[in-house]
Amino acid sequence: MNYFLDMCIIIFYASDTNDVKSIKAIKFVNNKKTDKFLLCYYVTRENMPKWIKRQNIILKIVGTKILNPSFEVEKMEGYEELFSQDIILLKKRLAQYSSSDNKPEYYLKLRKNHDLIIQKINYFITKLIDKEVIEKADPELKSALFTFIQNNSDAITLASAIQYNKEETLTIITGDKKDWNRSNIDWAFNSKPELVKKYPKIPEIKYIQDI
Amino acid sequence: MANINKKSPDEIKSEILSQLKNGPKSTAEISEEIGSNWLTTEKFLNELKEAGIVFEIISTPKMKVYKSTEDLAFYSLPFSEEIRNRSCALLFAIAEEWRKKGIVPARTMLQKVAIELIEQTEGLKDIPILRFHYGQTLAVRYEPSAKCVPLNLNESQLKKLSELIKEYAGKLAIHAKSKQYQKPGMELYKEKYENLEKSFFCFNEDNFKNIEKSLLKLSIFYPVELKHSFPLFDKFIYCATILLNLKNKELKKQGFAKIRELFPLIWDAITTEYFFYDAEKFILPAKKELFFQIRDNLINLKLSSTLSLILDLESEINSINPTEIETLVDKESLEIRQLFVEGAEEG
Repeated sequence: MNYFLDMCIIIFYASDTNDVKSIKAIKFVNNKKTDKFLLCYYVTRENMPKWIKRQNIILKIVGTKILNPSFEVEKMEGYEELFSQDIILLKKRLAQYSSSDNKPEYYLKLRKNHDLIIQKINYFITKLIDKEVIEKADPELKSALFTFIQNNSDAITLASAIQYNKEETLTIITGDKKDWNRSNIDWAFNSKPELVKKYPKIPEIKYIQDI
Repeated sequence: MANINKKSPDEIKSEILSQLKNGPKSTAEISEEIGSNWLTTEKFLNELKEAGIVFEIISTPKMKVYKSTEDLAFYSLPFSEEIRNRSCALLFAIAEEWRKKGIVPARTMLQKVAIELIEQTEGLKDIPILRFHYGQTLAVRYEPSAKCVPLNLNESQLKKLSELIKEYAGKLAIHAKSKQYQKPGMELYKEKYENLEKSFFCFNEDNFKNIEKSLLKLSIFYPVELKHSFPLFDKFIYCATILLNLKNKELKKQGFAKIRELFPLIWDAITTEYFFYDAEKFILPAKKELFFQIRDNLINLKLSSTLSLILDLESEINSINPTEIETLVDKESLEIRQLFVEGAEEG
């Protein structure tokens, strides 16, 4: 079976938490056997490196803020590269630090957990991915999907999956029921009927939490 | 008529050396100052270079920069004549006082005492203090054979110096270093000296934990202003964290050996950048371009050679099956990791 993975699956796998998505992702990866894991180039070359970079920025800002509480996070290097959800994450990290029972150890633990997650992500990409696919997503397909998903990364990744499904039948694995669903794809195709001709087969979507 | 004012080769060489007495200069600068054309100047510079009297520090198609081998400034940085003279004269004054007590002080000790004297007395604050490999230092090194007139210290400076000599007489330089590391702004050095280096000499489980903790602390104390070395340092910390958490004891020992081998290279890169960072504010605007060239040449060289070693190690680490690495299972760690999941869902 060819499984086309959404980027979040790798993060669920690497995070190793008690969350159902993380538990299921680890189980799914450990049961890989003869299945093939596919990732699109957009994830390996762009989206994942950028995600890691933003996590590094958050880590650095948290470390700096802990050492110099008077620093304004908004003025720290890299802050402007963070997305709105990263800023929420940064604030949650600082709140985690404030409520930590062992403040001097908090950053050490954060850094260690961060490094362990990054190692798992790197291991996943270098050792567990069988094939990287689709150098450039079809702009027409991507644009149609974006209209309904409103998230550029998701639109490119999903477009890559639909596109590669023409070459090899695949199943998409994601944890995102809100955006990665059949209805969004159908609406996108209905909005541009020429896409139906171009991509007559739509891949099956499976959610990691339901597997 | 034309030959009346012609300078002899020895005169030209002597003028070139005189030009380099106060720091590095480009061929064009020297040529202009001594009134000889570029080709003549370059010819005699080459002869001096072959004789081991001058040294080429920058060689690009557009520019060649030379320094005298007797230049006492660290990395031959283009500090002003006044900074060079005052720093050198202070070191000579301290050495002279020390010798009066019948002691020949170690060079590191001289530097540390000079820093304390500058900080604790009036009238010397114009002499730059810069962070370097072993803590704070002056902009120049002490060379007993150099020609330098000792600084005339006033009564209160001499009194303080006498107290410092008394404090440090018979003690190792590490005593002075350790005292210096207690100061604000020296946390990185303190952590390295007090915790990391001491743990580097033992191969046991407790020490591995101490080393990991100390390295992670260094990552907190890492100065945000040192931007060039940060990617290298950050990769090193990443590699060290993984290697020190390997489940297999033998592999962990091997990993530890690699960390111990690499750390001095990382430290060298960081503290070199620190030196340049601190030195920059003492360089006159006219010499800034030369300063940046020396800095970029040196830092890039250090970073690129170490980076290739780190990248090899990083790729080795990225191939380790995560099941071979210890994970943190405490409640706080799970909460920390849970936030990564939240970020992934939204991203």
